[in-house]
Order: sequence, then structure tokens, then C-alpha cells
Amino acid sequence: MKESTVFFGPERILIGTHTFGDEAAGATADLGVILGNAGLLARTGPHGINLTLARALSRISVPSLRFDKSGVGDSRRPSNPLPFEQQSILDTRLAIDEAQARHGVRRFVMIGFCSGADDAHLTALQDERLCGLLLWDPYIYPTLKSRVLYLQDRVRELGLPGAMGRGLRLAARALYAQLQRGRALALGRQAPAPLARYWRSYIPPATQYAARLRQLLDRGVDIKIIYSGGFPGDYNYANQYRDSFRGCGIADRISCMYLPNADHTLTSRASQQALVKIAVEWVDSLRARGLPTAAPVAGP
Amino acid sequence: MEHLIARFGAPDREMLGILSLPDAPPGRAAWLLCNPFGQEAVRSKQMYRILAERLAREGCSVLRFDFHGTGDSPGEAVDQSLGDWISDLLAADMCLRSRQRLAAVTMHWFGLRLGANLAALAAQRAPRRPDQLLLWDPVLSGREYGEFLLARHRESLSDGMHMNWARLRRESGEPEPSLPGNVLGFDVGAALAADLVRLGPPPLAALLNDGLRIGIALDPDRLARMQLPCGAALDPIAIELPIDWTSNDAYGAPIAPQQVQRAVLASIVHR
Repeated sequence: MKESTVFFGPERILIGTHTFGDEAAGATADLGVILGNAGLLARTGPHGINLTLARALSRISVPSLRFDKSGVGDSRRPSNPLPFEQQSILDTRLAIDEAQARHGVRRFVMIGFCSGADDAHLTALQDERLCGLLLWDPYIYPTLKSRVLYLQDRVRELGLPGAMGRGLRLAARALYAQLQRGRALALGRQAPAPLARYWRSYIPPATQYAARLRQLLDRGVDIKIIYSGGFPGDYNYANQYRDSFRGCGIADRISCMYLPNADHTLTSRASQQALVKIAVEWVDSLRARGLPTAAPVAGP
Repeated sequence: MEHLIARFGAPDREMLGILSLPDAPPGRAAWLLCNPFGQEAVRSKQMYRILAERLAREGCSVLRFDFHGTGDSPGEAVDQSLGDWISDLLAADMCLRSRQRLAAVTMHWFGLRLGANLAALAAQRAPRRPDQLLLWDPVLSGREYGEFLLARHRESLSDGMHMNWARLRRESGEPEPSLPGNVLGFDVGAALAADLVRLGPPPLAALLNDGLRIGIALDPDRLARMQLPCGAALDPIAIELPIDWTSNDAYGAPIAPQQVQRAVLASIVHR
């Protein structure tokens, strides 16, 4: 296994680490993996998961590039930054350019954790070199069943009075936040940002997210989604994804798994090992199956 | 300002660092930034970049690096010890001095958490001592630090799974963390675990006797409890906003605390 850390991009302000196997120099791989940031954590990933993944992938001769997007980890901000989402997409496309130039690969998959899953699917919408996505804890859309299951769990954990007390406190907090927003808007002030959910400040409507995924599926992108057990109030049963997207025409076309014993940030070795095994087998299967080759590259 | 990838160290202990150089050499001072351990290094990465950029803008040459077996440096985490990392730190110091011909400039070492202890211990062994140490929130007892990591592992999983530790153990079969072992996703081998048990507070008195200037930042409670040696060369700093560097998210805490930047810049000015 070899690793090489480089600056890349037009301003040479982005930094990434290539990890690849011991193949003969000049050998080209047919599939590469892009690993981005999870939230504001550096490219090694929460509890080092990107590092572990990259080294595991190199053992099956799949090269990877883990990188820091602008302003995160070791990468600096560009002189003329774009709005956050656009900059994230641009940085990811520049990372794909870098990996392509280094390894001669034209097809890529991206493994994205949390907000990295957002970056992955948004970039794939613009860059046909991304032929596969593994999304860890992407947006969650609770269902009636998930709410009922959570309520049952809370009663079991806290007893009925405790669960009711906790529920009332949460409802009061949500109501207070709504009142604050309403008051600010009535006074013509900027409303405070809504409470972040799933470590994000914005969740698109389910129909919008489903439409984006459908667009990618129609293009032949292989999408694998894994939900952790880290949001038991919102995602808590194996086929919830199917219920969330019932009627959207995507549920049967996406491989979705639920790992109830893994937390969102993959703290334990067992959850890291489970994820790495799934990811490596998935990447290996994509390589064997042969994904559609991207059209001639139109860089960012 | 220029940023370069630096690869250095003995062939069997290679390391990766980033060298930040000011526009106008020779530099005003040189800074070696020493990482903390494990998740604390992941969480503080951005702060180290911001510090390096700020110092380079002030005319300083800066090297930040990953110890062998950590971060983007090669090697296996499970094989490391504090002694190995002290040697790595001295190799990083040599790299910084040799790359920039810094014989004449003052050398500062900054370390956060376990990185602060490593800097203090390495300063005792250094053939060429640094002029100044800035030790931010150092570990005062390695045994307690080990217990802290184990506790944070349990808390992180409990918080992450929204259930108490006993239930998590019962229902998920989550193993009790231990040292040596894997804590917060990072391997601690037998040698490092044994070193931690023996680790005490930074040897301030000995370093002051050797003529070093030392800044030490601790939360106010620990600062009040710690018996600091006297001397004008020791600058105690009360941390205004204690930060849990093992967390995955800022949760409203600053990514790069202003107080750290102020202290770093002040130590250049006061020389």
C-alpha cells in the first residue's frame, strides 16, 4: 500500500491523500473511490474511518483519494469562494480530476458520510464520472411507524410518566423555537435558523430528494444507502426507506441497509469493520459488474 | 505565503507534514505544531491549519505534522509508543530547522493535549532546545487521561445511540473498552498504554531550569490546583472556553479558539 498527499486544484489550495496498492507503476485501475469530509472533520474522517476505508480498498487494488474541501481540515479557502453548496460540488469535481489524472481512472464512486452524502449526490448530478454512491446517513424522512416505534421505546426506557415528561419538554422547546421565528419575522428581523436535524441545517422535501436520486438511477448510477442506529427517533426499522419513498419510484432501485448497532459517527471498531466490509464488497462488485463509462470528461 | 508537503523521518518512521513559509525569508520565528492523539487530532486539524496560516502571515515558518502511525503518516497506530513519538517530534524539529536554515531564529513548539506532553518531554531530550514551549491543555496524569478516553468512548457511543451504556451493552453486545485496545476508533497498543500509565505532568521545573520560556494553558480549576513552579519564564494561562477535543462536532464551540491564536501571537511579540 502506498500513500501520497498532494495539493491540487487551480489555486493548489485543496489537499488530498491518494492511497493505492502496490501494483506496477503505470498500471491503471478501472474504478476509483472519492472520500470527502463528514461535516467539518478533516479528511481522515470521524474516528479515522476514511483512513481505514482507503487502506482496505487499496488491498483490493482500488485507488482512492480522501480530500479536504475548501476551508475544512488542511485545505484553505479559495480567493473567490462560491456559495457553500456550489463550492462543495466544485471541490469534489476537482478531487475527481486529481484522482483521474493520477490513476487514469474514468469511473468513480463516492462514499459520503452525513453531509458528505449530500455532497456526493449533488456532485453526481453534475458529474457523470461518478457512477456509484454509497451514502451513510443521508437525509432521513420519518414515517408514522418510526414515530410509534420510538414512542414505544421511550416508554420502555423511561416509563410512561418519564416518556410523557420528555415528550412535553421537547414539544415545548419546538414550540418556543417556532414562536421565536414567528416573532422575528413579524418584527422584520432575520429569523433564527431552524434547529439543525441529523447534523444538518437544511433537509430538502422528500419528493425533491427522491427526484434527484431518480435522475441518478436513470443515468445508471448505482446507489447504496446505509442508515445507522444513531437517529432512533427518526429512523428505526429496516425497511423505513421504502415507506419514506413509497410512490416515488426509487425504493426498489436502491440497495438500502439499516445497521442498528452502529452509531452515526462510527465510534466503535465493530461498526467500522461492518461498514468497511460492506463498502469493500460493494466496490468490488461494481468493478466486476462494470458500470457505465462516463462520457468524455467535462471538468468543472 | 507558501505551503509545501514535507516528507521526513527515518526510512522506517516516515512522516508527513505541511510546511508553511512566509513570503519574505528569513522568518521571524519558527513554530513546530504538535498534534494531540486520536480523535482529538481529527477534531483539531482545522485549528492547526488556521494557526499555521496566521503565523506564516506574521512572518513565521511553521511545520505541522502527523506522528508516525497517525493521520496521513504511514505506520500502524497499534505499534506506537510515547518514546517513538518523542523521536518523531525531534525529527520534525530537524526537518523544520534544516529546510529553512533557521539557525538564527527563535524556535517555538506548540502542543495540544497529549501533543503538549510530547513537546515538553522532547524538549528535555532535544540536542537543540526550543526557545519557547506553549503547552495547551496538557495531560496532567496519563492514567487519568486513559480513563478519560475510555469514559468518552462510552459517552460517545451512548450519546450516539441514545441509550445508556448498560442498555447498550445488554442489547448491542457492545464490548467494554479497555487499554490496550480500541478507544474512540483508534488503536492504543500495549507500549502506548503502558506509557500512559506512567505519564505525569509536563516537567515544567526542569525545563525552566534549562532556560526555556513556557506558556501553559489549563482550565481555571486545574490551573488553581496545579502547583506551578515560580519564575518569570512561566506564563500560566486560564482557558476561557474549555473544549472537548474528542467530540465530532463543534456544537457551538469554536473550531479554532481565538484565545489560542491570541496566545500564540502574544508569545512572538513578547520575545
